[in-house]
Amino acid sequence: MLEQVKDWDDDFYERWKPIAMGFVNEAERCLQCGKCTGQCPAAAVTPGYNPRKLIRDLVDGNIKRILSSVELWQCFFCSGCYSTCPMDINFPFFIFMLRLGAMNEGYGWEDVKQLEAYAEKDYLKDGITVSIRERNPFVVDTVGDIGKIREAAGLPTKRVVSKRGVAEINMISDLSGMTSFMKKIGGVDLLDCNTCDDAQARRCKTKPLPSKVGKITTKTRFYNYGEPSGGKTNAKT
Amino acid sequence: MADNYLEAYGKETSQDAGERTLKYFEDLFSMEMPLSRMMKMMPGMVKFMMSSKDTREDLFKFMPQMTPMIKQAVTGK
Repeated sequence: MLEQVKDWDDDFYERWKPIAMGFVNEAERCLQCGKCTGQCPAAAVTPGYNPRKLIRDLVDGNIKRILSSVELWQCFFCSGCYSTCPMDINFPFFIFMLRLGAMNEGYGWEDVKQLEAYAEKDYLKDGITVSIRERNPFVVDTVGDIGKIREAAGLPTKRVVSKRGVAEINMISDLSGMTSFMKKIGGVDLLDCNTCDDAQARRCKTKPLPSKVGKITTKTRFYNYGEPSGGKTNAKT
Repeated sequence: MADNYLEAYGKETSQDAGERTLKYFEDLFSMEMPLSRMMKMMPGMVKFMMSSKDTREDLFKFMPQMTPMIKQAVTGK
């Protein structure tokens, strides 16, 4: 059903290219061969995720479908698609840029919110780029968090970064805008428990969805590329 | 709560969402240096400068490159 909707911004991609100063290019050369999807580890375990469809929708200008999709957030930047692509399309870069666009539309903040503790406690304060706080409950139950693994290996729980290193990280973060971005994440409000509905309450137990980030109203994403044809029921799982 | 993305966007078309996203990217890739952006950069630079003598000297080496940016941010030209 969703495949047949013709609601496209035809010149989005062409207009985006000059704005991005040459960083965005070559997606129009996509042959739709599907090699990216064939080798993708994320697609192997998530049937709904399909890089080929995302590229097609970007070039066609099916912007609403891309930005509001959960699938946009399932890539983990292994860059296997980039190395396999016969036309050398840098797909992970498009994912990175489109995620920023999606956040501007209010999608994906429940995932970004999870970085809050890492950003404030590890990265900016101690300069640690790999957090010792493991978030995957399966890993915590079976192996333990990274701090415990480091202790078992005879290393200090946290990696010690020099004072100069921390100062440099803080300066680079400030210059690149990362600090203000992280503060923005830290400042988001959680859903109001008095007003949220049952579906939101169920989501809250695992992934709290902030109601607003600055001027952006946050929204729940949809499985736009999955089976069955997307929607709320699918998004709950 | 919307059942799918078409409901979530309501009457808005991809054209509208595209315009908004392009506007966002225009700001993101902008080379302009407004004062607000410059002010966000200052705490890290001050912290870096105060960290040690080495870092202070390092930062001062970049002053010739940074001066025009600061000037642009303050004067808005």
